[in-house]
Amino acid sequence: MKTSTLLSIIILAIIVVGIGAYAYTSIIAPPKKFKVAAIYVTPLEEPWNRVLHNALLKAKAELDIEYAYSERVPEADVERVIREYITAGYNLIIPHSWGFWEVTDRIAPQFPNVYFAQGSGLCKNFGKNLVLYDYYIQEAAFVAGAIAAKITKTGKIGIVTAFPGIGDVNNLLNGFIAGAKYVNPNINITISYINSWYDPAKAKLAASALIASGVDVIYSERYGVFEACKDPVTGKILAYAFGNIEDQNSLAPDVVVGSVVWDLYPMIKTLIEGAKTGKYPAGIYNATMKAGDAKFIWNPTFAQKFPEVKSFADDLVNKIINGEIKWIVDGKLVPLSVPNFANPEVS
Amino acid sequence: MIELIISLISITLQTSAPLLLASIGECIVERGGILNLGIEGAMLIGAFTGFISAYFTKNLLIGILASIIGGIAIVLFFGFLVIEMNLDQVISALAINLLSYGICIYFFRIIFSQGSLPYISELLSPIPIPILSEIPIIGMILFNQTIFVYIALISIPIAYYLIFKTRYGLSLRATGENPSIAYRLGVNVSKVRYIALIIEGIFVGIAGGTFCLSMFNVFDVRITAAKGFMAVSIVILGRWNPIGVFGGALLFGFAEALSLWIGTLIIGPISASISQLLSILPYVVTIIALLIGGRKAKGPASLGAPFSRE
Repeated sequence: MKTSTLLSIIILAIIVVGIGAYAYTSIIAPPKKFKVAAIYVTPLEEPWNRVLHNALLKAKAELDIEYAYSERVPEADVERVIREYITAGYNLIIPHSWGFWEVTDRIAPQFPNVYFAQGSGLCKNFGKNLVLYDYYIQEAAFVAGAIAAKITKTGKIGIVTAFPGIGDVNNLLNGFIAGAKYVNPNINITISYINSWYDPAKAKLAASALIASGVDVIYSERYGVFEACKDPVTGKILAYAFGNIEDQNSLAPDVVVGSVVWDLYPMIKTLIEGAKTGKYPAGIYNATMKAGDAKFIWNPTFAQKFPEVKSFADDLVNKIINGEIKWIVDGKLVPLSVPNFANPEVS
Repeated sequence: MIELIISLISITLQTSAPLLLASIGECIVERGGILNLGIEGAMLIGAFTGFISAYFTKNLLIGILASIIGGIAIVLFFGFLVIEMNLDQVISALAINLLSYGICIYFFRIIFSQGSLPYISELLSPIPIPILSEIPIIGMILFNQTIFVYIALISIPIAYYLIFKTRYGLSLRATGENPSIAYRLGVNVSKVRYIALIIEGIFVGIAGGTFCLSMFNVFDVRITAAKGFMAVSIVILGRWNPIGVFGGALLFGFAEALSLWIGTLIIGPISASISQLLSILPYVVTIIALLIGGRKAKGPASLGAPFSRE
């Protein structure tokens, strides 16, 4: 074969491929999908991350979006990662950690065409494209507290939590306490701080100390409580417990009455639809039972065991959704001595 | 009330068991002159291999075996780096910790579907020892425990005997004090250190298994919660002696438990500040114990120093 023939074949091939590629991208290729990126500070396996990851996977399946994520991004790198996603054409960027909020708050006004959702923090520059969300699932914690007060036999209930003085955690504790005092203003509540974000062994010790002091229902705000609630030798149930953030009912089916669950899918759906229609709900996003962000999920066994409590709790959920029950949510732990702070005079 | 106190002490013993096992293992290798800061990672590997094996086979004994194998494998790899390759022990240990963390996350994702929460349905239950468990108070505390606590308790005299009463223990201590002289006197330094590492691997693997086979039924990459590093400091607190290490681990475990009990039992509805104050109790106790007991004692002279035959 002559060199010139070979050359012309190659040129022809290049032209054909080029036209084909052009035609594919401009005519045949589907329209660009809405692109969402999430940034996590720790591995996906952490419950805090898992709830968002699961919500975005669901959104990917149901809302036809593109979803990318970066995990184990240290605070020092988050600005670079956010800017990379912006350059890559992502429409909604979700930095899902407290430590990221300052960067998000600073970058969001610089890119008005990109939408942001910051997971917890103290953002102020909401503009039209920044949403601040957090696990404001105190409404579900309220229901758990009310159930705890109903099922306790000793009149003593307890909470195992991380550190004192954390605003979003305090909201959960307040919710639980308000719920318990809504049922019984004189109930005895003990809070045990393990002074660690994650230390199941310490949480287990804390729970067993609570049980020893007569507590028979424990809100496991941090993981590690369930195994202390059952006597390993006799199999006797020493206390009931509530799971937190995700549905933990299956982990200890004979101990966990139900879980205070955070579902991020309704928010993700609202944000994506808002961004598409130009009605992005900039500002603080409040997780509510009404929208389905906060849920109390019963362990079916206990729903059958306590039918009266179940119907009482269902009634409470309705009251919360209708706005009949309200309490102050400001991140400050209400002193346990306040007898009943559900339904205060708040606007 | 006494029953409750007994159950609290018994639970504290259970939560201290991984600390104790890891410290005993670390004590043995440090006697041989190797500072293994990688036990945090090795413990995590032990917890992970134990968890997945028990998850799939539904057999907790296979889980324990897998924990041991996982622990030995990762500790031997560390041994290869520092004995064979003569690398810096601290830096190798850091690498081992990061590697273990990565291995666990990687395989966890390959094995389990994303976003799921796998768990073991049945945990190891305590095995009451006949007759002994009938003894009032002590029987309830000591002889009504899971196999891990028994192993932890038995490991103390075994480790003591091994270090101070056997020919191997003599070689081990000589290696830790001065590997060059030990080598010239005919001690096979590498072999002695490898054996020490294998023993440590067994202990640390079991320590990891304690978390996912007897204490909790899920796996999380944070499950060891820096207990490995704590073990390293307990070895120093216990002055490289298994009996001292036992005391140190219990002291630390009970001080931690006590801080939680005081907050709950005695003060009642505690204020947040008291809880924070009490949480420093384990460290205060450690400092006091060091001041009283450990000012004169010295560790192995060649701890952490690389050794080559030339």
